[in-house]
Amino acid sequence: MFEILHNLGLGFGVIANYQSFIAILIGVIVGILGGAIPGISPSMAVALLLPMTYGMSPTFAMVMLMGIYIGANYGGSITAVAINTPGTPSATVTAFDGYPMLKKGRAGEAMGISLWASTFGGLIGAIILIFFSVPLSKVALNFWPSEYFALCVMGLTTVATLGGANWQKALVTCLFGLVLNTVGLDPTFGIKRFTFGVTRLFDGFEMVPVLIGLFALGEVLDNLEHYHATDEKKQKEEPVSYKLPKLSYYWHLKWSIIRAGLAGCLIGIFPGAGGTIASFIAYDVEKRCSKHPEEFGHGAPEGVAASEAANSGSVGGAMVPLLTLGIPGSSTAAVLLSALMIHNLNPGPQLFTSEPELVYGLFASMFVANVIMVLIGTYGARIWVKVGYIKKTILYPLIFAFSILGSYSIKKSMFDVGTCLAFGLVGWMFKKYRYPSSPVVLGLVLGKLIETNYIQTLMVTGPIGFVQRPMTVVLFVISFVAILYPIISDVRKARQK
Amino acid sequence: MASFSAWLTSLPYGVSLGFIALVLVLLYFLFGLSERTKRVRSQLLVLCAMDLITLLFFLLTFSLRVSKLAQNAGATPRTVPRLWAFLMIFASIGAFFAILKHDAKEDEPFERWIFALLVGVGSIFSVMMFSFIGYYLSSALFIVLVMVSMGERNKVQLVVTPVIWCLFTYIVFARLLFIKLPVGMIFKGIMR
Repeated sequence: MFEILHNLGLGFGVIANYQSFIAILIGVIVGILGGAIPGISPSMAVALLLPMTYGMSPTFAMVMLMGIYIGANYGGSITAVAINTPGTPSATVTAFDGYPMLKKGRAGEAMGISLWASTFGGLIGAIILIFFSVPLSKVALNFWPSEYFALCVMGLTTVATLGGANWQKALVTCLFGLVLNTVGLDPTFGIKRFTFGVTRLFDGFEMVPVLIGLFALGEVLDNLEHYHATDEKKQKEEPVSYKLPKLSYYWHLKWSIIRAGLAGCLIGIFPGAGGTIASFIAYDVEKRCSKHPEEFGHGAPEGVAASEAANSGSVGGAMVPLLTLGIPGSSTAAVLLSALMIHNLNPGPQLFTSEPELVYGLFASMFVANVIMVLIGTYGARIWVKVGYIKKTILYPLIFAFSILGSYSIKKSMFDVGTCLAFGLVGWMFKKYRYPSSPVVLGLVLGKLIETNYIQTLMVTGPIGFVQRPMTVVLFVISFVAILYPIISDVRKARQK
Repeated sequence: MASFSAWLTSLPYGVSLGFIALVLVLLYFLFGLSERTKRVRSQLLVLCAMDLITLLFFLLTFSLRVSKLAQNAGATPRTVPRLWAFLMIFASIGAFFAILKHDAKEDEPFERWIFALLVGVGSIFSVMMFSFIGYYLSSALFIVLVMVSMGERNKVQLVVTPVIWCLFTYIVFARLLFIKLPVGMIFKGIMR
C-alpha cells in the first residue's frame, strides 16, 4: 500500500513539469474535440496523434495519448446531449436522458452532469487501476468463454429496463439488432453471411453510422414531420436554463456516480467488453435502484450520470489488462499498446519494475487529465449548451450535414453514408411507433461477442460448458432475475390496479 | 430447402427487399380488414418488417457453407442466426399481442411526412452529387435547400450558414484530420 503511494508520488514528480502539462492539455483538448465529432472514435483520435509522439520521450507520449483517451470519452457526450448524436458509441446511453433534459430546458444541468460524472468516473477508474490492477487482471484472465457469454447475456438483460412499458417491443428490437449483427463474416469460421454480394458488408454494419442514423437522423426526421414555422416563435418563449449548476447540485448524484464508475471500471477490465456495454449495464442498474424509474428516458439526471461515469470508469478498467498483461481491453487500448511498442516498451508485469516512472507517471496523468477536463469542459459546455439557441431552420440541416459527414469520415465510404440514411429511416419509424431504438444498439454491440463466446464454449466443452463453472451459473442466475423482476413487478402493479 | 435458399442468395438484394415491401403492402390491406388491427396497423407493419428480414436471414442460412471442423464442433455459422430467429418468433408473438391490447396506444397519424421524406431523399441526392460537384458544394446546396423549404427567408443566414459549414469542415476534416472529402469530377477536371 505504502509502496504504491510512494510510487504514485514518484509518478506525480515525473509529470510535474510544464512539458508534461502541455502534453496532457493538448491530449485532452484533441480528445474532447475528437469525441464530440461523430465519426471520430477515441481510438481514431489516439491513432491520429500517434505519429506526433514518435520524437517524444515515452512518458510524454503516453501521457498525451492517455489525455486523448480520457478527453474523447467525455467528448462523445457533448453532441449526445446537444443534438442527440452520440459522438462515440459509449455516449449512446447518455443521449437517452441528456437530450430529453435539453429539450425540457435543462441543457446546462445535463452538460454539467455529464462533465462531472465523467470526471469522477474517470478518477474512480484511475484509483482502481492503481491499487487493484494486478489481482483484477488475474480475474479477467481466468474468465472462460462461457463466462464471457454469460456476462454478455447479463448485458442483454438491460433490455428489460430500457424498454420500460414497451418491453415487448424492446425485446423485438434487441433481437433485430442481434439479427443484423450476423451480417458479415462469421467471427469464428470466416464464412460470408447475408452480404448479398456487397463487399462492404463483409465487416458487418459500421457502428457509428448506425448510431447516427438511429438517433440523430431519426430524431430530425421526426421533428421535421412535426415542424411548423410557428414553432420557432413558441421556442423563443420557452424558458431554457443554459447555466451550469453549482457544485453542490452534483452531491445528490454521488451514489449514482460511484456505483456506475465502479461498474464501468470492472466491466472495462474484460477485454472486448468496453465502455458501451459498461454504460448500458450501469444505466440499467441505476434505473433499478432509482425511486423514480419512470423518469429514465425522459430526462433523469441519474441516467446521464450513470452512463458518463461508467464509460469514463471503463478507461481505467481497460488499462488494467493492458499494463499488467499486455492485453488491450478496448480498441483504444489496442492503439495505446502499439504506442507502447513503438517506444520499445513491453507491457506486462515487468513493466511495473522496469519502467516505474512511466507507469506511475501515466497513473498520475490520469488524475491531472481529469482535472484539466473539468476546466476545459466547464467553459466548453457553456458554448455547447447554446445549441438550443440556434434556430431550427439552421440546426436541422446542419445536423443532417454533420451526420452525413460523420458517417463518411470513418472509412471514407459512401456505403456508410447509405447505412446512416437507411438507419435514419428506421429510427424515424421506431420513434413514431414507439419502438425503442437503444435495444438495437445493444444487440449490435453485444452480438459478435455473444456469438464468438457461445461458439467457443460449444467447441471447447459442448453445451455442458454453460453450467460447468460456478461463475457462469451465477451470472446466468443474475440475468434471469434481472429479466424477470420488471416483468413480475409489472404484473403485480396491473393486478393491484 | 437448400436449393430454395441458394436461389434466394443468388437474387440481388434489391429484389429481396422489393419482395419484402410487396408482402408489407399486402399486410397493410390485410390489417385494414379488422377494426382491431386497423388502429395499430403501422405498429404491426414495423414489427412484420423486422420479422420478414429475420425470416429472410433464416432462409438464407440453409445455403451457408459449413466446414467439417464446424460440423464436428457441433456449432456452425448457421447456429447463431437460427437461434436469434427462433427467439424472434416468441418475442414477436408477445409484441403482437401487446400492440393489439385494447389499452395500447393507437398509431400516431402522419403529419408532414412527405416533407420529412423529401428531406431524406434530398440528402441521398446530395450524397450522390458528391462524386460530380464535390462534397462542399453539394452539402452547401443541401443546407440552403432545406433551410428554404423550412421557411427560412433571411438572406444573410441563407448565405452565411453554408459558408461557415464548408469552412468548418474544410479546416477540421481536410486540414487538421487529413480526411480528404470528395472534390467531384467537375472540379477535378477544372483543376487539371
